[in-house]
Amino acid sequence: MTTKNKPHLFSYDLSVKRKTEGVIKWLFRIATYIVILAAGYLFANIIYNGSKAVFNVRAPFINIDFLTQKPQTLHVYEPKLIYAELKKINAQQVALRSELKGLSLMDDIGVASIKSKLKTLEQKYEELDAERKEGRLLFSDTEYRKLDQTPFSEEYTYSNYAYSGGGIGPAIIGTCLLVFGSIAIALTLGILCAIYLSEYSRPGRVLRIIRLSVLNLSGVPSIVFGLFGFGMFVLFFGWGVSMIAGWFTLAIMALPVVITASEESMRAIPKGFREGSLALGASKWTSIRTNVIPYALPGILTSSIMGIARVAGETAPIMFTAAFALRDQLPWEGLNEWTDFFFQGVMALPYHIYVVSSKIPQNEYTRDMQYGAAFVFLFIVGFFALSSIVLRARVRKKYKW
Amino acid sequence: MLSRKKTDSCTTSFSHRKSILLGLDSDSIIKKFFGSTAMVAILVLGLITIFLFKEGAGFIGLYHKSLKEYRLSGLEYVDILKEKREGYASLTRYLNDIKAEWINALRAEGLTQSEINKQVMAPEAKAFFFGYMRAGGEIRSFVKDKMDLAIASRDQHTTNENLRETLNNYVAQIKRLKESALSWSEENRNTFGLRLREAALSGSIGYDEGTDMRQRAEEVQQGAQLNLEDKELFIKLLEQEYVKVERMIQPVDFSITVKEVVADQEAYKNILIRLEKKLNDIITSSNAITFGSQSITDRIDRFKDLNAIFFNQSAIHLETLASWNSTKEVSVWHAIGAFIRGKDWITASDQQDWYGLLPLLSGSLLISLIALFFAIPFGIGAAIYVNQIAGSVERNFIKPYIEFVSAIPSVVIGFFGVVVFGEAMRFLSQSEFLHWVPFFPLQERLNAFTAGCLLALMAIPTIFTLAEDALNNIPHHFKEASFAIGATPLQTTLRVIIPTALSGIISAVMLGFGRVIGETMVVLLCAGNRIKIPDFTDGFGVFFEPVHTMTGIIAQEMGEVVNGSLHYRALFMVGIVLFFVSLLINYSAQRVVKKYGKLES
Repeated sequence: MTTKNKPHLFSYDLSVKRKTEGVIKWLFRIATYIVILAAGYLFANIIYNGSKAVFNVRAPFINIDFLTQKPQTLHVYEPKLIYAELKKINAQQVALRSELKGLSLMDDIGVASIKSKLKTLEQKYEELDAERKEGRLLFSDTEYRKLDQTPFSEEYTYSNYAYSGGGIGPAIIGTCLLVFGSIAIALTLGILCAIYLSEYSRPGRVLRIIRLSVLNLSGVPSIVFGLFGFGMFVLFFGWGVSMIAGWFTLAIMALPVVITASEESMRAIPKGFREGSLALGASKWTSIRTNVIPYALPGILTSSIMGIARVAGETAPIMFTAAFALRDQLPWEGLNEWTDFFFQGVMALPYHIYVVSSKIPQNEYTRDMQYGAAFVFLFIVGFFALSSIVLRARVRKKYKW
Repeated sequence: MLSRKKTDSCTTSFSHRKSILLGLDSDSIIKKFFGSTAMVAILVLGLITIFLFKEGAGFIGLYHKSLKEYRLSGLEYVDILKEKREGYASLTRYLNDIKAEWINALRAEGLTQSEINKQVMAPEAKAFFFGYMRAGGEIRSFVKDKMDLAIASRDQHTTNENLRETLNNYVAQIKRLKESALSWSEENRNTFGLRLREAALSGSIGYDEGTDMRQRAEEVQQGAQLNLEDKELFIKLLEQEYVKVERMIQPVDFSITVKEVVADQEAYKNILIRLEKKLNDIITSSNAITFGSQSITDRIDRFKDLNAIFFNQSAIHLETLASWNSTKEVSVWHAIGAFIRGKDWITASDQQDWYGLLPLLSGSLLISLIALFFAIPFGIGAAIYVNQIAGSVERNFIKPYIEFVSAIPSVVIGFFGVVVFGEAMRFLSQSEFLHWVPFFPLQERLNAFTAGCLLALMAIPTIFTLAEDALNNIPHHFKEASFAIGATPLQTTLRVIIPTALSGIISAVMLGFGRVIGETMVVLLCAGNRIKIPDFTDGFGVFFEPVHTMTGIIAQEMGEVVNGSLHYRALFMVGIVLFFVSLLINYSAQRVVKKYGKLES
């Protein structure tokens, strides 16, 4: 027995230790998978509920209206009789439930009878609810204005919900404009800065300060960027709440991401490339242009996509610099001069989501707009983020020196 | 291309460089150009600081002025008076609470409503409960009178200041008109047209040669040529307006008005004495009532004790009132202290606006604490798992996945919190099997805990990525050496790998903290937005209170304030605090890595 348990002289019984090790490993594993599941549930919830608003059962399967129309108020007419009936059933259910709570557990017969009553009520409720869904009338603003006469108030109860009708077209367009403008500015400034940092700079005080400020800039909260943009671009420069103010605010926010990543990808290029070029007699700038930038380009692009994802996802910086809660016109409509294009506020998806999730109630009529906007936004940002992650993995595999 | 390169190299090796601009050749111009763009990061940081301070700096002065007026006008005195009234009011609330409990107890005994009424509305009970409430009429009206006096003088003072500013504008405008030639700006033209029309309606003064003023007003607004006579008339009209406005100013001398506020201390003392007597009578009369259950009698006893304390404090209260002095200096430090240590954030109030940082700061810290409580174990645990335990297939899936999670926009997480997580929390807290938790069911579905959990989801990717990097940077031979001396994988991880990477992990946690404290949308949507210092005496219940945060208050109120007002500047001050807190966190995270992160490899 003893020889079996102790294969040689110096070993001792490891089984208890092994077990604890196994348990601790499993703890780590569980922690990891809890995170994954929590995030997964968030994705699943938004994708499942949002797809109801964005997709259609009939061809062309995508709800074009939702993606292109302007947000409108939703006017709802519900059949009065059914509505009253439903309310009555609801009250009965509540009464029965409280009665059920009052009963003691021993009273089997009483409990069973109340439960069966509740069940029939529930069935009745569902039937009536389906009927109500068939009988109700929904109008968006434009349709509502075109009506010759509103449905009779004796037959219908009326309610309306801001932002819940129509679609999110202007918000999508506004977000795209904001993202492309700001990323253009951020890329120009960021890449130039990165070229200096990786190619021209010599270690010293200036370099240290630049690095320190880039690092610190990346930690500044987005709302502070918003305040800064508001103070400088909106008020001091007098641009007002406008697209161009939003561009610069967002660009400054994306700068640290672009600078760090571009510099990194330029540094990764071996010294030999530059030295070879210099040895052939090229000037410094020529060797950078022909032998550094082309190879660093994939990395720079990846970083810029990362920057896009960051910029597109932010709400706080554009709240008081660029975004309107509601704007009837698309950005290219109703301009007096071409410069007006830059000096107009736009709708933006993140701000729109904030507005619809905090300013209007949550019910079956507003749900589609809320989830639909969140889904589209998550899709856009997720697309950029995913492509940057995939691209980066590929670039790493492709270039190895 | 090739030939150009050749010539380039020729010039560099054989000939003196040609100067192109200011003695610089093309290469150094390019270098300078890149160098100047690299300054952009420093420039932006500098600009952020400058603009935050530019908008926020005026806050101290304005707040100091506001606090000075608060003292001079006697509002401070009134607030001291109000304390006593509030004390009485809270005693009344306590009594009502007892009454409600009594009724509930009676109902639990199985009495019908009429029987309960018979007991609760019995003459002696009625005299007790209602008498107590009614006894305070005198003190209430006294305090209200004083408050009205103080507010009226303060408001008049503010109005006067606004009017004086208007007068200054008039003076400047008249001066400009007199000096300038006959060029009319669009703005002046419009104002002139309006003034003309007003003057025509009132019929006070007009043109010498009988030009119809109303007609002229139309002509002016349609862009008619304006002559010297018009200008003179405009000046005359402005002067007339000036006199009118000047007459509206009714000077307020705080030193006189405050006397009125502070007066009647003797009468107030008598009111308090009368109140004490009345209440004591009522309380002694309550001995005749039988409450039945012991717990209610206990609470009545406690109520009596509280009353005794309430009256004992009267002497000190009167003393503070007597020693209060409106001319006592309010220093700038007082204003700064009132911002940093202030316990209230009250805006747009008719009495006094308070801008105190504490409720916001404590809310931010509370939420960060909850978020980090979840994010640290999960983030670091996941990093250790992925780096040390997981196989390569798992690793290649989990790493990009968590990176992807970091890209979820904060507003989407906030939305998820509002519609799903908050609802789920409420549902859970109301369910039967969790009734043993003391603070369940929750009052609010949106509270610090909801926001904290969601923020944890945002902080986990940050902590995970950075901690995983730190673990990854440890040279292989550390691990190999550890295995070689017979350590198990877990021992290696816990005793060798983690201590070596500790500086990186700590800095990861700090950066996660920075991300959490700077996050806006999630807290704005999910934290409940109640501006109050969380009640830390509540035990664990404090985590489930709605709070407001520094970031949330800026996002919520910035859109609604008047530019340049005290409130506006207060929000910028909060922004300054936030900015420096985040810089501090960031900087110390770097220091940690630099100081303790040197691997001896």
